[in-house]
Amino acid sequence: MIKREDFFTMPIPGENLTSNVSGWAWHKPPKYPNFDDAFEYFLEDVLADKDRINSAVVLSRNGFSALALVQNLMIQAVGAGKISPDMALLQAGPVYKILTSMLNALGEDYMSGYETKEELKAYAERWEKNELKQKKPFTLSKEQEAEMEKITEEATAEVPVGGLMGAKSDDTVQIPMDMSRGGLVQEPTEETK
Amino acid sequence: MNDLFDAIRESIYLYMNVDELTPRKRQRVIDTYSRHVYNMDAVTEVTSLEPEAEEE
Repeated sequence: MIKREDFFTMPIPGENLTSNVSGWAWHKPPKYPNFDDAFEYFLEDVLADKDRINSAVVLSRNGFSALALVQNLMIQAVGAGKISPDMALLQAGPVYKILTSMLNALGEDYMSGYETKEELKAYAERWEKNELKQKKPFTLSKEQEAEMEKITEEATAEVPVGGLMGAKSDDTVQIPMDMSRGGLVQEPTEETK
Repeated sequence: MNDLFDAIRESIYLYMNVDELTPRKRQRVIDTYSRHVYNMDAVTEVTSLEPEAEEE
């Protein structure tokens, strides 16, 4: 019910048409209009982000389904102006597939979001008793570990600074800093005169 | 579909259960992704994690 005093602060009819809404991110062209660019954004900035994946795991352990996680991720990306709503529909499937495979690899017992009533009931009972199934986490094979180490080394290696022009040399030039004499050309001393 | 949430739900369902769709619908979904670098096969390849054989 509207309070009596609110009648004086209510928006006038048509006020929404006069306000400046061009500042909203979703009213501007999306940052990633290309499918592959948008997918790389989700892979590199979202799914590869340790903190964000940790948050996703915590949420999934607390009853958030993978579907809800992806839905929120997509809406957030649309709201931030990263992708368009149509692109969100295209991205949702692949991102969901990768997210669920990551959760599987971590051995998490999560809800997919498409459970039947019976499955939901069973999950709720497991969750209530704190008996969520802990699947065996995925372990990397020796070859994969070696490859990961190689990639990590390459990524963390220091970038060489300089090049030929940036190389340090031992030939240092002493520039006289005595301002009283002025200029770089040394004046003849009294002995040489 | 009422809103973007429902649309995303439907989109994910179609993507994840593409083999259960009718041939025409299946082809439509596959064609949508086939023109991109990250097509369905590429994503499947990324997500395939073959567990290490247990050493006995």
